[in-house]
Amino acid sequence: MSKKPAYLKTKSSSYWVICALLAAIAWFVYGAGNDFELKYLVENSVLKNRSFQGNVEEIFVPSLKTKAYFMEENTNPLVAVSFLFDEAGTAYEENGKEGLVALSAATIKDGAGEYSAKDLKEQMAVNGIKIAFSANKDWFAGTLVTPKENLPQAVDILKNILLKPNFENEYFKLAKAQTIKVLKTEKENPQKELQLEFNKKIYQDHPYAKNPLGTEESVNALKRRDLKNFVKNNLAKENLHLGIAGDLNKEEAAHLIAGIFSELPDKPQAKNLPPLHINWQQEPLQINRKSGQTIVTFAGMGTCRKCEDFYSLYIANYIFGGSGLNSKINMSLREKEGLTYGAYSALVITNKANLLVAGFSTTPDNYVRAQNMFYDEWLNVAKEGFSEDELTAAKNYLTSSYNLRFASIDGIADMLVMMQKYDLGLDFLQKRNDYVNAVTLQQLNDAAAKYFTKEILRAEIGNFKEGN
Amino acid sequence: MQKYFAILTALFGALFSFEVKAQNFAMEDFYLDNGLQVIVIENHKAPIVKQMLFYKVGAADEKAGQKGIAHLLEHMMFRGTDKVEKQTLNKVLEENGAESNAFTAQDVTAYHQFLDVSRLELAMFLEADRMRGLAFDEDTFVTERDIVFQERKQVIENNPAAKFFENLNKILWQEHPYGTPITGYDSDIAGLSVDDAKEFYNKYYAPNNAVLVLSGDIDVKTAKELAEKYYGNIKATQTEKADYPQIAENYKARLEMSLPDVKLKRFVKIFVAPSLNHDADKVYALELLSQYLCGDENAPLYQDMVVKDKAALSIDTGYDGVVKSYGSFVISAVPADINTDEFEAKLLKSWQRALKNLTEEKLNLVKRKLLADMVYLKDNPETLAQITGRVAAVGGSLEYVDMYAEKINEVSFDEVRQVAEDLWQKAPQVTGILYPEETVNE
Repeated sequence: MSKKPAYLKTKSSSYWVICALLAAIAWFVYGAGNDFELKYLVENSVLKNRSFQGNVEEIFVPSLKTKAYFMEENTNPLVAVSFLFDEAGTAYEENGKEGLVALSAATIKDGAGEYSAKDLKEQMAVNGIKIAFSANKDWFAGTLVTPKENLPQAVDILKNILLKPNFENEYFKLAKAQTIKVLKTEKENPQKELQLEFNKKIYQDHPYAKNPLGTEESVNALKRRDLKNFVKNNLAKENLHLGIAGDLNKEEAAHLIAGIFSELPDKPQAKNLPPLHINWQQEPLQINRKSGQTIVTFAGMGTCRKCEDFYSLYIANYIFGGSGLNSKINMSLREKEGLTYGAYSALVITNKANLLVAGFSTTPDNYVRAQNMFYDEWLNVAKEGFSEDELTAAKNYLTSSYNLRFASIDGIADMLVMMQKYDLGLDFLQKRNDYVNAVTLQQLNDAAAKYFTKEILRAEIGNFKEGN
Repeated sequence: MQKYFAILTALFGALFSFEVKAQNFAMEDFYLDNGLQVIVIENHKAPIVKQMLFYKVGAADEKAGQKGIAHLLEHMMFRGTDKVEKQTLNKVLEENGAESNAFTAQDVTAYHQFLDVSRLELAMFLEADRMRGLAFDEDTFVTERDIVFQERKQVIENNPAAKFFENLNKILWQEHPYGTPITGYDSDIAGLSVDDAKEFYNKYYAPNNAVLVLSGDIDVKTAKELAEKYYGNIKATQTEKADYPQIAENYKARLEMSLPDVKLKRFVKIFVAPSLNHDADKVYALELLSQYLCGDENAPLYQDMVVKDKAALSIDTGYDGVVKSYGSFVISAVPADINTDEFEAKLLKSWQRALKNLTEEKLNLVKRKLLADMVYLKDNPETLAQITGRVAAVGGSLEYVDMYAEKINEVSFDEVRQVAEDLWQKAPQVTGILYPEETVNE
């Protein structure tokens, strides 16, 4: 962005006069397209040239054997700690224990140490302490957010949860019943049904293929002892990534994480997922079901977070279907023809597989046309590539939306954890816009040619019997 | 009070602004001469800002034969104006890093962008420009009508339970516009014309019928200058207010239905309740009632129904009083495998027991829990923008946000009991049970 000359830096009335004059001249010279006027608004904004002051620091606590990323942010008296135990996700469950990780995440706050489930939840609610757990295929993660004044209590609660969860029987039985009910009802939603079936097709006999909630049989067989063992064997220092953000200094942050995590075991139980080979040559999967719309989903090969062509594919995906209404695929299917409420594409990055996925939904009468247009656009990207203008527009979005990531304190802590999980480096935030800007049109189009290929898997659900 | 001044400024154009100083939040509001209310919420954590423009019009203002037009117009608003060419609005906002979207509700329609503060002026220019300068062409309208039709199919028909909730609302609200879905039904959408959209737009999209919220890294002085610069020269117009029908007390209805593809039994009870515009003094007691009954897993309705009696696998309550007409109080549950009559008898018993056991001490604890979370409103600038904008757009006072803690603390446990009793005994209400198809005769 261009800098204002020194004489324009005070917003005096002469500043406005000069701006108005410049605008008038420009209007005259350039024939006054909107484009100029809009750019002018940004370049001359009274609120320009502000930047976020947050600085990422590394904390090393000897008793923790792991580094943590920390950002001091004093605007509000809040503290957030985000933590992630890698290779402790649903795909890593032993055979017969399917559903264990999801059930643990759902019930880990049901009593811990001296706290009964009721006490623990009461203390959290009364003090505004938020502790939440989640799991995906790869990891088991959590976030603590608390008003600073209640930090000691929050630390004590979280420490007890991680070290001495009780999984009180009454709540444990309830959570099992709830899970089984959810399993029975997942197929209410055609989108969900399609996703579960498509996972089986993509991942075949690999653990990534299974339902993260388990099966009715496996969930029924789970014991409290299994959950306690899961926590003891998987929540360890060696597979822990930590992000801390908020109203505290580096020493306080170090003290805070030592207080919560230093009594965890050093190493998690060794576990290995089998390698994953995806067969890209399969026929489309078609599921028949009465529904107002046909839902179609695709998956092709993607790239890893640290791979050389990551930013190239990241931008290619953004232009094709990652950017919402203005994306290539939405311009074609939605904005021009009104065939769908929305089409999308996205990158999926996991420990064992990297995918480029896409999809749309449409009424049966539009299905054939939408499908053909989707393939045309997809293959055209590989053949013709993107334009310089498209690349510039994407870079503009990705760099100018940069500061939005600092909107909330827990969002910052989560981001710090992801920086470690993907080994992006302490200076990632300073360098991120440079990474984006460094992508050339050649690199972008090489990625397009490599990934937007005919070798994509497709699955769809809809009323095929009555004709599409 | 603020409304009074709004009318004054709109009529005489004499005052630049009227300010109400915030108590709990860094928040101020003022009015432009053309009647536009501007709310500024300062949050200087990061150089970002949320602009939200709420129009005080929504699906409930539509006349017969034009159902769905508020929402379809919301779509049209992204299609271009006399100044900004077709399709460029999304493109320009996106290239400038904005997260931009809009929503239509029964009472309000809102357009919003979350973006770097250096791009705020651009967003303000574009938002102001489409307040009066929208271009309407037939082809674009027809495409957008198709998209809306696809949206309804995706949101409603891909969700087997949605039909149940639409029917439930229809039965509860009867002739009241809250009973019609915001998108309109399929046949309504098909019948909408570009002239309907134009008429609705011309009538309701005006500064004196809107609230602008700027929340983020901006001070009040700059906000005033910019609001004046971009929105100040738009002329006020005459708008209309919806006339809502009354709903008779003691109206009690029931809906039992089964739908294909539904696998999970649902129980829902909706009461017509007070709101910021209808018995406003009861709003705080109702919020406390909802928090008390089901605010967390230790709450008495959850403990009784889910943990002890095992009559339900989950239960929740919700209260929404930030609306123009009547509010609503909802109890929703997933019953366990028990007979429906038995479930309802247990629910009534649990409700009564919870209210009987309510003490001053317990209510104080509930208040503490409810207020403990308020500190988080100061974190993400988006949250407070949404809440405050909606309150102002339905005609509520900003006191609702500013003085929330004080008002909550003033509520006595008799008041909470009273609103609960009024709900169950007197309020118009509907009870709905949705069965999986194969178990309908159980």
